[in-house]
Amino acid sequence: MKHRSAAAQLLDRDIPADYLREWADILAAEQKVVETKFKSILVFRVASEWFGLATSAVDEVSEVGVIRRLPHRVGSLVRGIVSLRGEVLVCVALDVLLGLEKQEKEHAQDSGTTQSRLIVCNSEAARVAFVASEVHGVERYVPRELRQIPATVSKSANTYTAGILPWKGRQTIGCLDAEQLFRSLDKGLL
Amino acid sequence: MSERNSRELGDASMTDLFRQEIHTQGAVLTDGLLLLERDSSALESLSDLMRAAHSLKGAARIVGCQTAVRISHAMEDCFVAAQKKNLEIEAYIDKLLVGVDLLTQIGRAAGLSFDSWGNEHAQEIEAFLVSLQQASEAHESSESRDFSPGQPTARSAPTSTDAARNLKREPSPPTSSQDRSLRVAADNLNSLLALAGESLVASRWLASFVSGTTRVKRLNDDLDRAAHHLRELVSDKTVDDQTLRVLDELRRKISEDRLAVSECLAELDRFDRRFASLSTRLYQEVVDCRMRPLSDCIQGFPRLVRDLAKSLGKQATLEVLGDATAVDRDILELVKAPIDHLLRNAIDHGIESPGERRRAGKPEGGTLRLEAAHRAGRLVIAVSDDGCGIDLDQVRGAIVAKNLTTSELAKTMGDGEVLEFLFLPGFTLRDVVSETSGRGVGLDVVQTMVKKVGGSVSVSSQRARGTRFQLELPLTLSVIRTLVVEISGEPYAIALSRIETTLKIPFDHIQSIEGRQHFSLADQQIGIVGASELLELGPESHGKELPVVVLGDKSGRYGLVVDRFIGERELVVRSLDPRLGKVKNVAAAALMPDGSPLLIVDAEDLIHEIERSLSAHRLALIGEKSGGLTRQKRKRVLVVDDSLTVRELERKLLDAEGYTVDVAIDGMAGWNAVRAGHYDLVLTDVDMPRMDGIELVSLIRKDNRLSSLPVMIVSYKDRPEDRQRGLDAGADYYLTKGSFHDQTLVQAVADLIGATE
Repeated sequence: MKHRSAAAQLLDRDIPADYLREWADILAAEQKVVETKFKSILVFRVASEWFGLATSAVDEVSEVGVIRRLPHRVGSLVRGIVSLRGEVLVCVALDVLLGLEKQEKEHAQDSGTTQSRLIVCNSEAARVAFVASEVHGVERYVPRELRQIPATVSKSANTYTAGILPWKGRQTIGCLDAEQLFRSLDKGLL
Repeated sequence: MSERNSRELGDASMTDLFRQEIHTQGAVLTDGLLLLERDSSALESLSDLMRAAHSLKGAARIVGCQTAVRISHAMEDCFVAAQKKNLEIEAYIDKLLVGVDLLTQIGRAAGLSFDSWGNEHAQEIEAFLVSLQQASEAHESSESRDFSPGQPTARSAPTSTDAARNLKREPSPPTSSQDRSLRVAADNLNSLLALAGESLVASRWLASFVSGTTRVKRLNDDLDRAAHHLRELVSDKTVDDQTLRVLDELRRKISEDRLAVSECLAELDRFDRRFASLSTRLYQEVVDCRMRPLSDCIQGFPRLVRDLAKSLGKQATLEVLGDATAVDRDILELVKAPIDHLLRNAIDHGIESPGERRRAGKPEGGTLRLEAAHRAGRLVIAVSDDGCGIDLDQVRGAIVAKNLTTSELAKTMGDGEVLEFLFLPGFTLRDVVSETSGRGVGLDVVQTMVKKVGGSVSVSSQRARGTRFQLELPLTLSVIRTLVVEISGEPYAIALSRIETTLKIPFDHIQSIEGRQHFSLADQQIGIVGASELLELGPESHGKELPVVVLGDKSGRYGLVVDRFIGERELVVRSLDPRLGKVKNVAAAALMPDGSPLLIVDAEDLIHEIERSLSAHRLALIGEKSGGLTRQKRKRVLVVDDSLTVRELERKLLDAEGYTVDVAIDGMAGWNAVRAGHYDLVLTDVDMPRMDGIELVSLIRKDNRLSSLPVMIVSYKDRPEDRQRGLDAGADYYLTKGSFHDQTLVQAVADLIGATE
């Protein structure tokens, strides 16, 4: 009983004098532009470079199973086939597409390490997988943080990097253009 | 707007339903009519026919197809009249079948409105209606009728003594199609199959976990024994009470632990068994989802037999045994054409004219028999007739006449061997080409198709008694029996159906002639090639003996040298990503029991590849370091152009100069070809569909193995900037198409890769 009356008293109390004005001021004030349009990317490493791929383009990250080579296609963009829960997927060599093969040789031990992961993407046509030397996780950024890519990269014929994101102080992430990447992959599979 | 859309959608699906209805009821009508024709006393089938026609009429009304309403109405009248004995139905069978055809055509007239179809075929329809007019008149009131099947007049006992007649197919009510069924997208079914397969794999993993846990239990037992032993050693006198208490406590804990572990293990074991049985059944069930009864594909055959026999002035009926046999959908699609062919053959070649049959003491009407059954895990389909059989001497004569062998040899051939010749392409016993047969395309097509799915055809024949063709097919294309071998350290599966034998040959049993290696197997010399060399994989490793898989078909047998045999496995076939295109020598993928992927070899491809490489002489000898012989007799050129004229012109020009020329019809095809074959030069057009020449050139330049391949662009475009664009992409030479007539093309080719020897 005691509590009920106390509660009623609390709820029935008068509004503070300047409460309404305070709110009117808040609502009337010019809206501060709050950046809410975050984009999220999955950050992973191929050879010695860090890349980001829109999370919407990534289906899942899984352990690297056995990769079987395809006869007559050794050394091409297709690294082989992998199985993921009974599904047979094409595994592409992202390092070849991104022109990192030479580095990859130096990091040759990478693909067998516990850090390497299979990233499965959902391009429009079908799913496709590739091996990343290491997966960091999902990062969020606002588009305005994205920096232009250096001319040395943008001038080259095949560039898949849409922009560069500063990360952890001195490092950078190359944000990949998923659409263009998949387009090249689809073509390159044949 | 949305209302209209939904209405249209509704209409569309109604039309779909109508088409399905035509399909099922049409089959009922055909079956019933054919039965009536054979046995006019089978009057109870009339009520089936009436019901079918009536349902069709109703369905046609719903979708507003007046033409179909009129046709089915006329047919229905006819059946009703026949049931009331106002009409001799036998005389109308042909006309009624025409009606079924018309209805079927309506069902197939996709994309057309029914009205416009009706208008287009107005004449046919009118003719049909008039032909049935008489029947309608014979029966006045067509409106009031009941569908009690009447009192079935006791069926007259089989008139023929032929026992087989008792096995005659009843006019099967369309039970199979009326089973409650759902449409499932093939993709869904495939991923279901994949998941079920994976759960099977997971259940096998559990078994190894169980055995691991069993080991833990054994270790626990050891521990218990050790503790027991310790307790015996330290009798009361050696240690103080405190230590003894701790020791006893330890022993108690250990036995508690033992108990807990064995309880766990028992539970795990039960779960393992339950899970294994569950996933096996799940998997089986999913595989079964792909199965349909054979009757789905043979509906049209009784009619085909009747019509064809009639047109040849013969009488024949088809008996079907085992039409409920479950067959994989894919196989079902594939067997239709071969069965169709064998039936046509049987009527044309097998069944004699009524006169001949009478003279031979057989019933005038011939009987074809289609039997299907599961036998030893295979689907066996047999097509047999009671006709004249195959004249073996005539076949022998034809073999000799076609210079396939000498007459002496032909005489010594066994009957089985002689019959094998029937399957050769272009082989026919007919001198005159008729509509039905004699074109020489036939049995070889049947055999090719059956072989493609890993089956076999056999034929047996008895003079004057008949011929029997037997197809043996796998039950499903999704599961195949394979031999798994290791090639360059990776597993590959080869379909058992393509393997003649496997053996291990000691290294010194291999001989070499003209640099080609071979060994002898049962008096036959079999050439061998290394699998890793053929598949362009890394180096292989051999011991003292070479594991050899002997593959073969009629044209030859070859030994494929692998690293080692792994074992026989039943594998679920998974198709490769279609974006990969056709991967040379690979048919599909599959999963090993441990879940890792492996590739299934395309044996057909492989045999061709072996033949090609043996003739091109470019395989390294086994046991030698690779990079041996690469000499080629002729230089190979690939011509890529979307214009047939240009392609042929270039081909002829270069062929005349002694180059071996292959052609591709656009950049994409060119890109496939250039990676598959070993070319010395590529000639390409610029403007082509799918992939243009510039793109092709840049792809070639980017490929590690092809980057040094000479490429020449041949184009109508002769502006300097076009030329520059081609050369920038990496072409070695840019030629305009105007230069064909003066030796420029040939000269340019010779400049790039040298003239031929």
